[in-house]
Amino acid sequence: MFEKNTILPFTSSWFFLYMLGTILLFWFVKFVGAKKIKFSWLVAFTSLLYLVLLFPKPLQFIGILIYYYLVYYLFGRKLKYTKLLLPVILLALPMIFMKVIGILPENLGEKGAGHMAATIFQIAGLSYLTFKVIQFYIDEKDKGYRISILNFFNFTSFVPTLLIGPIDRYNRFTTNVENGFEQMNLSSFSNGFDGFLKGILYKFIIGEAIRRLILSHLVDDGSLIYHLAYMYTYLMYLFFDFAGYCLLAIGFGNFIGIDVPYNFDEPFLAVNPKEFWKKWHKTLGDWLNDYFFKPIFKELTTKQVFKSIQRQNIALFLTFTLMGFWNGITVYYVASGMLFGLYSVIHNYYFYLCQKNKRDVVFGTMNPKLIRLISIFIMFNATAFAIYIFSGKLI
Amino acid sequence: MNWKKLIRNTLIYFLLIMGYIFIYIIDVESYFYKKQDVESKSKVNFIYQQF
Repeated sequence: MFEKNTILPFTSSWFFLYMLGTILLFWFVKFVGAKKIKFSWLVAFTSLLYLVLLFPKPLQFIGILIYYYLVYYLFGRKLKYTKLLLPVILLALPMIFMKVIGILPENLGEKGAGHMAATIFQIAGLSYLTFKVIQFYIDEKDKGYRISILNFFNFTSFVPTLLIGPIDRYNRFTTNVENGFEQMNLSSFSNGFDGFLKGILYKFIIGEAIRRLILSHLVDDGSLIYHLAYMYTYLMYLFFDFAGYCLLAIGFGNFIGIDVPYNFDEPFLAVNPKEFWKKWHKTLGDWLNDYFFKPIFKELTTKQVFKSIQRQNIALFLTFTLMGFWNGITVYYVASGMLFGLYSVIHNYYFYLCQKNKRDVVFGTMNPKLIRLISIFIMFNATAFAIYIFSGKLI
Repeated sequence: MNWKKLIRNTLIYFLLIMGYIFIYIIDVESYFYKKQDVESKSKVNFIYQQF
């Protein structure tokens, strides 16, 4: 049964119906009215249609977009404010409210101010939206803040990536949209079909099979076997569900000629944390690196505090701790983020010692293939443990 | 002919069709487990809401 404004991307057959309609509309316009209708307007129209008909809390979402654009317009264009900290804090504020509301006592949300705040700020996809607008604001600093409302709307409201990414970059996305109907060809359609099928397989067949047949039926008897079984099963489930979702987003984008960056690339074959974040939720890893790690490291370097290796490790640890807070202000999210930070610090220090001593300080002269296998094994299990913490089962 | 792609696509289609039949039509879960203690919704859906 169709219920208006209750449908998140890729979670209902109504969404897939909307997706089919959008793809048909784009291809129809490409062949019939490409000279009369601009590609960017078509992107905006289909996004608006989704927001108005299907997306939960459309008014709040549009209200938040207006707020973001006002911050951008006021600080970037009108005041020509050169510092970044204040505008970035203002852009992050709705997300911070959302996270804080999430930890307030449940009865506070039933009436009054708590309820109102939850109604306004608890919007699906707000965290990803925040990442996009912060990136957008920082990158536009050197370009004079000349972005139109249409381009802003298209970037922030692009339906396939609206809910959980992948986190796209404004320049890449806009170039894609500007190329418009030219990018829609048999090759992009074929790529879309590939991504879409693989996404369906990952999310709705493999992920769902793991959840229904194993994860939901593990009996918590407190034994080590239970915890280990849950740890590995949850990791697999999370991977197939999330990677499947991202593949569906990539597929949808490609169907209408818009590339969406990939997010997962054989993450369980990573040999160290650095490589892992290039393979698991890559766009988040890249975002954290560009907009958090590098500025912190630069700041520490400017102030000449600590040695270089210490500066790197502090910046790494803070970056992953932030990632934990971004997931949610709960002990298990933050602990999971910190654990990932610790992994990165350990690896970074190991790498530093290897360079300093001009030899592998752990594996010595062991066969490189064997080192690789051992590294994959360690990284896989370390990841499983951190994701297990993330699942909230342990803490 | 790109054999690698052909094999990959055949495998994907096979798994899709078989998975759909076993999970959604036959509902193989009900054969394995007598008690219907299935969680009402996906944990990851909850996480989606959170983000």
